[in-house]
Amino acid sequence: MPGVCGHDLLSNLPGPLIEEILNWLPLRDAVRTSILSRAWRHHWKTIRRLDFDLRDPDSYLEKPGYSLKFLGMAENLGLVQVLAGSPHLRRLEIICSARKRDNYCTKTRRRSAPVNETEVMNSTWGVLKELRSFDIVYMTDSEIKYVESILARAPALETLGVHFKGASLLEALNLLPRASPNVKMLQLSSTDLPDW
Amino acid sequence: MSESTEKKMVRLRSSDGEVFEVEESVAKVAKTLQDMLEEDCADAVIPITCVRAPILTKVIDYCKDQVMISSSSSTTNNPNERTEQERKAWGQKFMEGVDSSTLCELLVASNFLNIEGLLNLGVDKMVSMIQGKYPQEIRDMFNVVNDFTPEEEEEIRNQNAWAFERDPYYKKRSSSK
Repeated sequence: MPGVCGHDLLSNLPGPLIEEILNWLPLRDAVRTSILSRAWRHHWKTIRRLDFDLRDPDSYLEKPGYSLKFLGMAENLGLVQVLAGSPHLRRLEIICSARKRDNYCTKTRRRSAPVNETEVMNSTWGVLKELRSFDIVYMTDSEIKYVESILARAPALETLGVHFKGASLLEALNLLPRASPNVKMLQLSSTDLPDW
Repeated sequence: MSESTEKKMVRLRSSDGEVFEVEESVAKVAKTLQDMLEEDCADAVIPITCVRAPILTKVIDYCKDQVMISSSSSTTNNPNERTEQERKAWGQKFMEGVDSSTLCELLVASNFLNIEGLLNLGVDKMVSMIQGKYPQEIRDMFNVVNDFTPEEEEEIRNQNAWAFERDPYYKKRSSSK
C-alpha cells in the first residue's frame, strides 16, 4: 500500500493544509492551480490573504471579500482595472516607497501604458460598496488623486488610515471632508519612508 | 537531565507494522501524542495508523532534534540554541532531497500528529516546489490527472488570463534552475 497518499498526491492532503499552501503561494501560482484538474478548479478561491504582485500590473480578480495590498506606486499599474474588477473588496492597503517606485517605473512602463488621469476620475469603475477599511502608507502628491477617487466610491468605509510623510499628510487632510460620512475611525500618522 | 533518572519510553507502531521505541519527551513533541500520553495510554503500543515506517522515522528525527534544542533552554547558555538563520538552514537541510510523495506523506503525518514546526517546514517546501512551475509540471510531480476537456481548460485559462501568460517572471525562475 502506498501509504495515505494514493494516486493524486495533492488531493489527499487535508483541506486546511491545501488552503495553507495556497495562502503562501504567490497569487499567480495559486490561481494557476485552477487548471490542474476539476478537483483543483476552485481551491485557490479559499485564500484569505492577497498580496498583490506589482509585477502583474494587469491582474485583477473577482473574488468577494478579500483585501488587496499594493506595494509600490498606484500610477501605471492598472489600479483602475484592479478596482473595477473587485466590487466586493473589503480592505485595501496601498503602500508606496521611493525605492520600489524607481524599480517599478522602469519595469512597468514598458509593459503597460500609464493610466490616464482623466480616465481615473471619470471611468465607470463603479462603487466599492463593500470597502470597509482603507490604508494608505506614504503616497506622494501625485497619487493623492487616486485616494480621492477611491474615497468618493466607498460609501461603506469605516476605517481610514493615512500614514503620509511630512507635507503630504497636510494634503491628505484636505481630502478628508470628502471621505465617506460613515468613517468611524481615522488613523493619521506622519511616517518616514518604509524601510524596504 | 540526571542520568540516574530512567527515561520513560513510548512505543509507536507505524501503519505497516513497524514498532519504534522513543523517549516520552520525543513523542510529546507531537501534540496528538502528548494528549494521549497525558490521558494515560502510555503502556500500550500507540498505533499511528496513517503513517508508514519511513515517514515515521523522519518524523521521529525531527522530534528528537526539537527535544535536543529545547532540553537546556532554561539555562542561559544553551549550546544547542539556534539563531533564526541557523534554524532556517537546519529546516532546509532537513527537507533536502524529500521528494513530492514523501512530502505529502510527511504533511499528512505532521498534520495528524499535530507537530506545528514540521508542518510549517512541509508547507514551505511544498510552496517552493509549486511556485513558478507550469501546470503540467505540477501535475507530473504530484500525479494529478488533468480531467478537463481542452475547451474547458481554455475557458478557465481565459477567466484569469493574466496568471497564465508566459512572462519574464517565469522565464527567470526556470532559467535559474
